[in-house]
Amino acid sequence: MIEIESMTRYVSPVNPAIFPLLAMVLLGIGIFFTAWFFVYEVTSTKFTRDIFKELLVSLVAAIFSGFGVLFLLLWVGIYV
Amino acid sequence: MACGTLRALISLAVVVLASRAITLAVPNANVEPELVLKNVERNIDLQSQLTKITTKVVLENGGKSPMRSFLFAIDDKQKEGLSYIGAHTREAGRAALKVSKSEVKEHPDKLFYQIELKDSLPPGRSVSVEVEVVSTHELVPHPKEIIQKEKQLVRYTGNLYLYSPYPVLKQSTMVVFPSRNIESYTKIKPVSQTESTITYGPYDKRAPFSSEELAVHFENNSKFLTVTRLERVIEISHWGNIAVEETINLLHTGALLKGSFSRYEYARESKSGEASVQSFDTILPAAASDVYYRDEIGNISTSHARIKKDSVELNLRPRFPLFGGWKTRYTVGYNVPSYEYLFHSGDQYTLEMRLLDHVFDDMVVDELIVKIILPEGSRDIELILPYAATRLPDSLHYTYLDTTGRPVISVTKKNLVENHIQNFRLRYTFPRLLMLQEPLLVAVALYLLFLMVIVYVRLDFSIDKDEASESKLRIAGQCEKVLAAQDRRVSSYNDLDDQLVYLKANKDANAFLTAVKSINQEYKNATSAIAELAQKLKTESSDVYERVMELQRYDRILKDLYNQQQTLYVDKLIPGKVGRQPFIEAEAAISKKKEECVEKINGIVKSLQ
Amino acid sequence: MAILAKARGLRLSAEKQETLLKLTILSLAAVLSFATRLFSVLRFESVIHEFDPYFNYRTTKFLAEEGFYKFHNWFDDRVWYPLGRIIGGTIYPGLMITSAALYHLAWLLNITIDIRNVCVFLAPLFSSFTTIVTYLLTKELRDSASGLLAAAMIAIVPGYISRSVAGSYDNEGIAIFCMLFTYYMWIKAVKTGAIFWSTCAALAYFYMVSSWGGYVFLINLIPMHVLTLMVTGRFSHRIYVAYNVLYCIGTILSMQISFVGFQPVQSSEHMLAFGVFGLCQIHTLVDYLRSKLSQSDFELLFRGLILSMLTASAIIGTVLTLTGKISPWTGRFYSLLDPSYAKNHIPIIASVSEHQPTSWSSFYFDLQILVFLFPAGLYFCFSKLTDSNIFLILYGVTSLYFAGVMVRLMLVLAPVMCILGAIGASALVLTYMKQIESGKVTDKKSRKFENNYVLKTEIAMFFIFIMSILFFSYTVHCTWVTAEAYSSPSIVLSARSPDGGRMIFDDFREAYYWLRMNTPEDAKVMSWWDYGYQITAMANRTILVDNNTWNNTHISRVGQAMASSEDKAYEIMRELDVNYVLVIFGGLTGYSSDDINKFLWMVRIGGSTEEGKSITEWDYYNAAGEFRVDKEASPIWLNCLMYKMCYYRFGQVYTEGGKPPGYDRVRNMEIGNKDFELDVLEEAYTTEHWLVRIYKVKDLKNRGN
Repeated sequence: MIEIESMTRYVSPVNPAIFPLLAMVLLGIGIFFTAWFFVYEVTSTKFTRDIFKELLVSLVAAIFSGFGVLFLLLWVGIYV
Repeated sequence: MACGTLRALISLAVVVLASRAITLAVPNANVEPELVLKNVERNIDLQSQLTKITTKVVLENGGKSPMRSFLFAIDDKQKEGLSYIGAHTREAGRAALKVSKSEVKEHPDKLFYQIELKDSLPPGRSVSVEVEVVSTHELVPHPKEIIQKEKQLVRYTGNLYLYSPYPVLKQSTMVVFPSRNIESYTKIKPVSQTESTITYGPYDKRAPFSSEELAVHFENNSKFLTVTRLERVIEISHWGNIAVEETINLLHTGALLKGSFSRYEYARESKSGEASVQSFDTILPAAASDVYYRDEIGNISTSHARIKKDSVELNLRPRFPLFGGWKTRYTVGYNVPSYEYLFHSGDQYTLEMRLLDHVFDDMVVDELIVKIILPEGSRDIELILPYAATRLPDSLHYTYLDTTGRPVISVTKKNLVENHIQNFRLRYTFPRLLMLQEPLLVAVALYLLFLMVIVYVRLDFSIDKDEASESKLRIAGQCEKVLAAQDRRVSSYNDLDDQLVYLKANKDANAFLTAVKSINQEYKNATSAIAELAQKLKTESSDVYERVMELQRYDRILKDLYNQQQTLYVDKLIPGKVGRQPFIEAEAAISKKKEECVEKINGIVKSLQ
Repeated sequence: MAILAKARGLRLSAEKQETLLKLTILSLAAVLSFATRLFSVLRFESVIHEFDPYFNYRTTKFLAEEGFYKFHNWFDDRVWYPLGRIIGGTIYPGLMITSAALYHLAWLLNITIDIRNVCVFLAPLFSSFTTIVTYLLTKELRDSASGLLAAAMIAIVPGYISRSVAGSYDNEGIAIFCMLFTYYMWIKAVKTGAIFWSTCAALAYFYMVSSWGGYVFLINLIPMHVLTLMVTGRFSHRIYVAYNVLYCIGTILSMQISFVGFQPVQSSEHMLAFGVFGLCQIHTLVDYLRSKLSQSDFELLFRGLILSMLTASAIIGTVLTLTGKISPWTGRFYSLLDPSYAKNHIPIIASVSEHQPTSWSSFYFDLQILVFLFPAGLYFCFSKLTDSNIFLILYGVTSLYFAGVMVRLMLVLAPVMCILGAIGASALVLTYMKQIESGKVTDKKSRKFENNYVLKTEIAMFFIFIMSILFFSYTVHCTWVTAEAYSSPSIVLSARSPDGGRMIFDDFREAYYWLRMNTPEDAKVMSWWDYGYQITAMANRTILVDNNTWNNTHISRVGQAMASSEDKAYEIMRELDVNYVLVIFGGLTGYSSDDINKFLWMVRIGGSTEEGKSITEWDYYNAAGEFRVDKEASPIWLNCLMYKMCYYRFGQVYTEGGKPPGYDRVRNMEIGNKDFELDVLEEAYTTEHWLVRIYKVKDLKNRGN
């Protein structure tokens, strides 16, 4: 067991000061892709749909929004 | 089967409990008959609601062998209210001495503490030690009820002498009061009163366990506030934050308020309601931020924080002033950055934090419950407490973005005072990669949502097929593909144009031909794709088919024109077989035809959109 | 040289652009409608507002903690002591079930949100839904352009915001959504004649019934629509299917709500729906017969049928009314038709400020430019009549009438104002936008044709400019009204202090929390009914009367106690087993809606029953017929319990510089009776600014003293 004296102080891997910036940028990108996805879903017909494009766009949207939501939560003070 | 498991569990629990009982067993000790207390000076501080007794003893070893420790006995009357006992040497360093509970066979009914000396005491020598004892709820209001205007009088009964298992050669007792208003006090000579202190003694030799009642009755308007229950929740987030929330139940344990409460008098006369508590200061760590102060029905707007160099001082005003017997309950919470209290080395973490924090000066906490919520996935948890407290069973806490739950470590202890504000240590292991679990959880949830949309748009519940609209959609889809192919063709033309311009300028036919080869390949692909699509369209709609065929026709013409231009360049211009004037004319003719063709094509494309 | 045009390129196609625009505008409107309702949360805190929401909050909490069956069977002994109240059977549970469901859903997903926050943010959430449903409804009624405009307008219309800001947790918050949703389904059903849509309409109607008593408006409007369609000869099988399915399923479902019970088949308010249902059958039968019979035979049969039907229904109606099977015309119904009815007959209805007729200014205040766009929208509806447009016209006209009768029904008017206003504005803007565009690209033929209009483009531009200014002013006005008028929680008061800072008066919660912490668990608190819901919710103590004014005599008894002398009041208080009495007093701070200003209502209500005959309003006026608090006041008033409780020891307080002690800052007079002691009460607690005063009722004196 390592003693406390030999340990270093723990800081967050991401500086809390940039939580707002991260949240906004990531959510911005996420919303862009989400909008793209939904516009595509609404305007395409079953003859013009491309499953790979849908999956790819939604994946990018999900990942960016996912991280964006996390930083949004951290920003507003819900420390998960 | 289930029954068997249950029984096994119960027996396991019994074993665990038994082992715990063994570790908590109190060591036995003997009263060393050779030890004498040469001089005892006691200071009973009754200025607050606490009883703080500081005893300075000079020990003398009259025996033959060196002595490592001595015993300190607690009065029967004091037993119940005893909250804290500590000892230190009276030398310059004032080193703290180890104090532990112990039992003596000859006096099974009495409560003893064994105090270990810093260095063993050789025979014939003496040492000076200071013992501090803090007790709660020993000042009893008398009269029990007062009206708003009256002062609060309390009574204290204690022992005039040191309750000691050893003979005391000389002792004196000093009692300190908050004011000079003393109604009555025990008068056993020698005794003297100066200002707000009464000094008893010095008395000469007294036998072990000698006792004489000391009773004082005096005015005490200090804050008689008791925290009947304090629940402290510490939640650790590895995103760099530690959230602390304390829910505090307060009771004014002074003399009860008799009769009515008059706001008029309370606001106007400063003498009115002296024993009541309007506000108090809570000291929070210097790094505390986002402080909130609320109760069940909302925020309490009457509080303000003063930021000092080494702390944040929070002036809390309950919703209403507290008179004797009145209660209130509130919650205070704040955030502190993790680097203040959390240490790590790799995946090993240690949290060092106060088990109990300051609520107000000279506080009394009847019951403390501390809950430490660790991040989800923490393992190998080990808790080191500064003093004995009961560890409650661990539990799980579920909140935002949790799946398996966060481990909760709970500890409880009764009857605490300010001296108990000490650090605990909590060691645990947490794989850092687990921090990615939360964002990925959100991402997966969102992705599932998108997948549901993808599936939903593909569902078709209609019983009968609407052929007309189906076919319309199909045609629209094909048209779109045709247009996409046409776009590819257009860009191939654009490339070709660029190449031609380039060729005209530097006349490098070979480079041109190689570049054109790939462009033409692209063009061919697009054209054949359109031809294919056109075949599919033939069955759907002859009208659209016609248009696409027309597009193909004009495109062929256009391509021919390009070929002519290319021939003109490669075969005539570069070898110099043609003069300037005829070349310009020929080129002009071609571009005119091209222009007509392009207009036609654009028209068709527009009609197809 | 001409360039080959690319079909798609990087630019979005027109269709995609339109979709993107629609999605963006709609989601922005939905977000805006949520955000604009958060003023009070940002200025104060996340707290429940006003009075009724506290009751809803308390019941929701009970439902969330105890489960539906306990809630359904809940007999509450904390209110209307000693009568109690069967909560489960006397409320519309839709609101509570909605929030409890959301709460449980959130907890299922480990979102550990407090039930209070669910309640606070429910109304903004549902107004977001309302925005979307308004778009759908308007799109169904006209086109998506008007739909978007209507959505944007309803997002910020003050008439709706007034009852749906964060914290005002009331039935209306979700009921408007339910109502518009039902209308949307109904229009769908009328358009398609499909059983599917009519069943959906019935389900939406059920949700509406479960959440608000205003469903009566809905169940009269839809039959009225059907009736109008019949009269105008537009009745068809589509409408037959739509209405019959809706009526049958809807009625059966609505009877499942225990508070509604058998009303849908008994009370007069539902008779129109029933009558139209019958008429539908007759109409269809007649149509069928007409197609089978010769003209003369049919005429004869038709007359006979009409006569016998009329007599039969008249006889049945009379018999049922006389035997009490059909409930008589209730007061609330009369007061809808005749604004002065309630005031003359039922003091307790008249005493509520939101039951007063609406003034003209409040129409403008709540709707702004919609007031002017509304007739334009009506015009465009009339110019192109369809089955669904007729519905919109009916909805607009009737709700306009009801909003004029009662202030709180402004809420029903606001959505249709937005829809009609949007239709009007959209049609106008569309007309002129075309002119601007056509000025740029017109082929020669049409230009020659339209040459006689001078400055066409300029006028169009000017008009568009004016419309933009109007929309802009609408936005500014709505935001201002929301911020200034509709976003104060009324449980926490704020005022400007002399030095310009903001002062918070948190006295209500101070007093309620004192009651909660420092009185016995079973203490009974007497106060005027306005504060009943708040006391039970925040202080958790038993009360005598509350805002659910179901028992007139009980309220009257409290009124009598307040209006009597101390001795008489003590008898009443002993009889009712009261431990504490709570009064609201604004004389020190200048808070004008305190108990003294409500006192005349207490006297009127107190005197309205047999037991309180001795209390007459005129005893409390002085000889000149004025209600005052100074020396000229009537001696009965100066010695009654209410006066004494409010002004106990107030005579010694200096409230304003240059004025004698005991100067009341609300009534602007020096009080008339200063030095008195209370015999049967003792001051238990008075809040910091004297807003709430709580007295303890002394025990009976020992004998022989």
